[in-house]
Parts: sequence; C-alpha cells; structure tokens
Amino acid sequence: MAQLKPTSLSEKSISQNPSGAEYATDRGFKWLARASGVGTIVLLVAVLIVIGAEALPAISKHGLSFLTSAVWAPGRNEFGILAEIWGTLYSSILALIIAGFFGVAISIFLTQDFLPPALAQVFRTIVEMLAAIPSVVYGLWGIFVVIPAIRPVANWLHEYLGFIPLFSTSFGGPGMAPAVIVLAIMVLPTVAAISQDAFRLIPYKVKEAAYGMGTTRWEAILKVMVPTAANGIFASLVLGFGRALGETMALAMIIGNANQISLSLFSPANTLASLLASTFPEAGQIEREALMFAALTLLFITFIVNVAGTIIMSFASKQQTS
Amino acid sequence: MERAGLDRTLPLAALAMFVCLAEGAKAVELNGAGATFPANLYKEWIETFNRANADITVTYDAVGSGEGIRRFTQGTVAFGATERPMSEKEVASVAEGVLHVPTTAGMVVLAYNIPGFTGDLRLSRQALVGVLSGQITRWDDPLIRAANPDANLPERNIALVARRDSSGTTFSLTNHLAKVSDTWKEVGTSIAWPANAQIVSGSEAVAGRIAIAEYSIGYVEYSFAARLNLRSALVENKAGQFIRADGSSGAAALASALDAMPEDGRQLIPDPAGDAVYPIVSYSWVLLRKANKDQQVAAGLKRFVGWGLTDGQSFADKLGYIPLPAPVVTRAQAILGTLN
Repeated sequence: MAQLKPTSLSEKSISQNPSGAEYATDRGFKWLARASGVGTIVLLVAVLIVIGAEALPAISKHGLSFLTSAVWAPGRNEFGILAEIWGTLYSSILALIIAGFFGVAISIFLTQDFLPPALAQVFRTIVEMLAAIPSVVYGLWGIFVVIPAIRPVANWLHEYLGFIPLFSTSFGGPGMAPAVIVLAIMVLPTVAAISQDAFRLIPYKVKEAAYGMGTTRWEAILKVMVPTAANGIFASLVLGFGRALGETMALAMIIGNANQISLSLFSPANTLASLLASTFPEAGQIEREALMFAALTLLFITFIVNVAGTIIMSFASKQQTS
Repeated sequence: MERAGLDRTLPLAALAMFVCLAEGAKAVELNGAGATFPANLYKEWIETFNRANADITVTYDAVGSGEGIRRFTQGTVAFGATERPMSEKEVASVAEGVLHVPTTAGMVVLAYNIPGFTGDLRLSRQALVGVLSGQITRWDDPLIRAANPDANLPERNIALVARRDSSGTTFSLTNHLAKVSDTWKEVGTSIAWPANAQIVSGSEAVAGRIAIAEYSIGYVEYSFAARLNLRSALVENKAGQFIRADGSSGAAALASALDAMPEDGRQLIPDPAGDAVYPIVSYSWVLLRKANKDQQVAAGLKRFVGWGLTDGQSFADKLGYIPLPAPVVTRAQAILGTLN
C-alpha cells in the first residue's frame, strides 16, 4: 500500500486514479471469485444430476422398498440397503460418542493452561497427525492390533453380560466394535482441532472473570468455558459425524461386510460407503444402478446431517446472543 | 514366500524381455481372466511357462468366473477361466465358437477357524446346508453336535464367510447343495447369502477373512485353505462317510465319474458316488475361441494350454489341486486340437 507523506507539496498528487491494469485485475478477481463460488455449486449439482440419472432406473424399479429392506441379491435382482443405512448410522453415532468425549477432553487439556504452550503445541501436532494416516493403514491396524486387543474384553463381556443386546453375539473378529474404535480415532483429530479453536476464541478475560468470581479451575472450565465454546464444539461434532458417515476403506476392511441389522457390537455389519467400495468393481449394470441409488442415499444422509447441524448451530447462537 | 518368488522372477522376466527385444522377435501377448479357484496353479504355470518361452507372454487376472465369462464373451481377453461352464445361450453369443478345455480340478473345502478346537470337524449334509443357509447360527447346535459327539464345540456364533463376486467356487458349492438337499434352491455363481454372512470378493479374501475372524467358516478351493494353514471340515459324501479333502479323495471323486465325461469336456460332478470320495469337486475350464483371427494367438494358446495339460499337471498336487485323470487329459487335448 502506498504510504502517505504529509510533507509532500509537489504538484503531483500522491493519490491517483487506478490504472487500467488495476481495474482489470480488480474486475478479473471479482469474476474469478464469483466463478469459483458458482463453480462449487455447479459441481455439486452436476454430481447430484449424474448420480441421480444413473440411479433413476433403480429408483423407479425398487422405490421405497430399497430403503426398507435388507437384501443384496444381484442374482435375483433384489436390492435393499436398510442394513447398510443402519450400519452407517450406528457406527458413526457410536464413534462420535467416543471421539466427542475424547476430542473435547483433549481440547480442554491443550487449551486450558494444563501444559506449557510449547508442549501443548507438540501435543496438538501429534493429534493432528492422526488425520494424516491413510485410511488403509487404519484398516490394517484395525485387523492386526485392534481386533486382537479387544478380543479378551469382548469375550468376557459376551460371557458375563451376554443378556444385554449390545453383547448378545460372540466376538469373531471383523465387526462393529473394532470398526467403531478405528472410526473414533479417525474422527478424533477433526473433533479435537475444531473444538480447540472454539476454546481458543474465548477471550482470556472470560476465564479471569470466572476466577474473580471465586470459581475453582474445574468450575471455570465446565461451567463457563465449555458452555461458551459449545457452538464450536457442536460444529466439530457435526463435521466429525460427516467424516464418519463417509469413511470407506478402513471400514470396508474391518466391519465384516455382513448385510444384517443387529444391535450387537460384536456382530459383523456393513456401511453404505463400504458397500459401494467393495461391490462396485464387479457390479453388473442393474447392480450398478442400485449402487448409485445407495450413493444418492449416502449423499442425502450427509446433506441432512450438515444442514441440520447448521440450523441447530444458528439457532443456538441466536439464543446465546439474545 | 510369494514375495521372494516374485523377486526372483522379476529380473528373469526383465532379462527375457530384453533378450526378446534384442532379437527383434515379436512376443505374443495372451491375456486371460476369470476364476480365482485355479489362480494359484495358473500363477505358477505362467511364471514357469513365460520363463521358458520368450516369444509368448501369458498374463492372468483372477477376477472370478462370472467376470471371466463376461470378458471372454466381450472379446477383451484371449482366454477366460471358469468353474461354471457357459450355458448354450452364452456359447451361442460368441460367433467364433467356444471351447471348454478342462485344465485342472479341485475340491471346494469348508475351511474353518475355531480357536482351541482340536480334532476334526465333521459336517453332515444336513449341517452343511444348515450352516450355509443361516439356519444354524451356533457351533454347539445339535445338528453339528450330532456328527461330532466327542468334540469340544464352542458355545459361539458361527461367522460365515461367503463370496460376493460372481464365482465358480460358489457355483460348484451350490450345485452340490441343491443336489443333496431338498431345501436348498439357489444355484449360481452369485447367490443371496444369509444376513449373518460376511461377504468378500475372491477366494483369497475368503481365506484371509477366515484367518482373521475367529469361529468362522467359509468355502474355498483347497489350495487357498492350505496356503493359510486353515483346517477344513470332513464332509459327508453320498455313501455317508465323512471325508477329508486331500489328493486321493479328490482324485477318487473325479475317477468315479470318468465314464460320464461328455465330448465337450463340460462335466459337472455335483455328488460323486463311492466310499472314499470327497463330495464337492469341480473341474476348472479354460475358455477358448474355436476360430481365432490371429494365427499367432491361436498357436500361442495351443502351446500354453497344451503345456499346462502335460507338464503343467505335475504342479497341481503340491499346490492343492487335483491333477487331471489321464483320460481327461486326452479328451482335453482333443478339444484343444480343434482350435484354429
């Protein structure tokens, strides 16, 4: 930016009309920004149209029964994804509960003066590095580490608490429980990073004021800081949920790929994303249309989650300000 | 082990290619695709054959029988491979004509992973149908117990592992089940499995899943179970005997039906008769076009498959396949001879 020099008395004014080039850049940038914005929307609509068009034959053929039945029989041309919808939501919600608890706990630990800032930065980087691990590595880790590790616990739970529906089937290996654990770890960096931002946005004065009122550290954190950051925490959970819904490779490897609806954590299940990933390569034309319908359903679920999250958030912030 | 083998052959393959280029000879490329059932054998064949024949390069994609038939029909591969013979209608859709050359045979075994279980698991016909149809869901089910009175069967759920992709192994198994049971209806390369079944693609994935999932059972060609040291069940045959899958019981099953071998080689043996025969066996076929436009391709296919029918048979036993009986080799050579 040009610097103002008050001493200048020369005839040549320091301010001047923008040059043609500057006009052009300005206008060009404006159009570029607009085009990018519109482009994003066009892209989304294009994806919807293409998938929708491919799914159309399946939609008209199977209709609602596609969403309410749990069969996948390409030989008989019968398709239904209720089991996958159930598996997607069940695994994501459970993973989100775990990731939410630990993610918020981590962000409190890293932002509320428990650690010297330099050390906190190291921890933060490590948590964020979890997001850099490829999905397939998580899958392998799930098979070779998580499954053997939870086996004794799962066996004990099934043996002594088998009457509870959650533990009603015996643990074989690939299934809901290891999938939920791996999924929780994959979602954790998203939840932790965004809730940390939420905590850091709170002015330090707020906490000082709380201490001034005579609160203990825990009271300050739980009764002042967490409610103040609640919006951001909620946003982190919505984003984490979105990520969990769409997670594919790791789940395809460890969830067990079974087309059933079961409350049991130890029985194999399936998710929409892993159904798509594992079935698409060998699918024939009719099965492919059904898969497109499944993809559309997944897209719709994530869309609903994000919209609902945004609405709830704006509602909450309105309440807070009033 | 496989890795070591690959490392050894890669430089050789590179050398072979180099020699080939240096001489200016044009290598014929024969690409095939299909069944995963014989894949372990074909892999070994191709490695050995390519090394010895610099002018021919054979490749094989183990994608499942259904996909193999599809690619063969579309003409994107030089040869297909399957355990489900093509139907008359499918054959009719290939203008050049189709040859089914039996190249090897194998047993579909019920491989299981039950920690702490000693002894042999015996599966009666009723129990086999029960487990695969999802009616039997626990290892300590009375139907399984009946054939294993002294075994320490665990009080656990059965984790059933089945194939998703269109598979010749699935066809051989369901073809057997429909023959031996009144209640089993669905026969095909891709069927609707019960809800508790874990469904994966390819024989290798089935064996891999059984290895990592405890209390599991699934079906694969014998060689896949052997490679991962999976134990397999003794299956009840027509004579009511519980038979272990091994070279001799498999060979006996093929031998029991030799007389009925048709001219075109498309023989299914859904339920072989005899005391010591393993009940679930199948030939594996290579699909070839009867009339080939490219004479170099035709000659190459003849050499490769012909080599497999003679020298190649010696690989079968140690890899977990059944070498073809001598009359079937003769018949297969006759079928191959009609290719031009």
